[in-house]
Amino acid sequence: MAMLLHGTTRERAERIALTGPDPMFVELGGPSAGSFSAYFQEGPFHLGTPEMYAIGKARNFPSEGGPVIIEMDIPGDIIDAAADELLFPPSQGLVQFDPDHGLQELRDGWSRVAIRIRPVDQL
Amino acid sequence: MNTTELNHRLKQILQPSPSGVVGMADALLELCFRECIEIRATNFGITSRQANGTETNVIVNPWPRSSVFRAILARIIARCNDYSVDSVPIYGGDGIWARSMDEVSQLRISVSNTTSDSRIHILPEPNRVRQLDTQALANGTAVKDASSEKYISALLKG
Repeated sequence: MAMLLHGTTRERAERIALTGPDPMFVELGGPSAGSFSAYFQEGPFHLGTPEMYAIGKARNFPSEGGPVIIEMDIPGDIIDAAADELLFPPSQGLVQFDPDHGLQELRDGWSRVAIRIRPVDQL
Repeated sequence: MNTTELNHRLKQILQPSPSGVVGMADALLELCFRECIEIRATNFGITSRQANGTETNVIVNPWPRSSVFRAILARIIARCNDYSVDSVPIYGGDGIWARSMDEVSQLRISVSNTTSDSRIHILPEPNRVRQLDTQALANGTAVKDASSEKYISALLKG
């Protein structure tokens, strides 16, 4: 079990909390997301912090309730399904859930994931 | 670096390795900075251009995982923001990067990182091109032709 963090808007976070990450989610004007990424709570945050992503999405979509962090306690077997030592090694802090790499396992096991949503202060 | 070496180096950088996507992105920046190489990349591959005008194309289709290219772009955005705080939004924009704050030379970076538009353009800052070109002329390794003059001239015009 590990705690993963995902920065997003409140509207999206509440949708994810209900049904799990949706690979068919479409951001305004774009194709479907196709994947879902999260960081280990302890980092490192080589691709930017979850807070930065939350604030960035909230700025681009100001009607979605502001920036939040989803904290997810995810069982190890689900994280292992996404692991890839040669592209996304756990030491780099990012867990990338892609089709054929843990995304389906995450959706199937969503009922086993404990979720909390906390707001992010905007500077 | 000749075309064959550059092509080999780019393919090497894009190979999955224990350094992951972070290593790929960092190596691309380092290559552009050290060798003064301009790069345009999309989800399908990379086009590079050296100061002498020589172009190299590396096709990457498909990436080993669909999310790899966007992760590389996210890492480069993070590096720009490490260099100049909050300079590039998560969905992209224009930024600069250098290995340290002490460096006179920089890379100009223009990036878009959305589901509908993923691409990057890395351009050596003109002083860097001029510096390397002068060095190459001094040690006799410069390849001076019309295309390189045009390239450097275009860079110097900004």
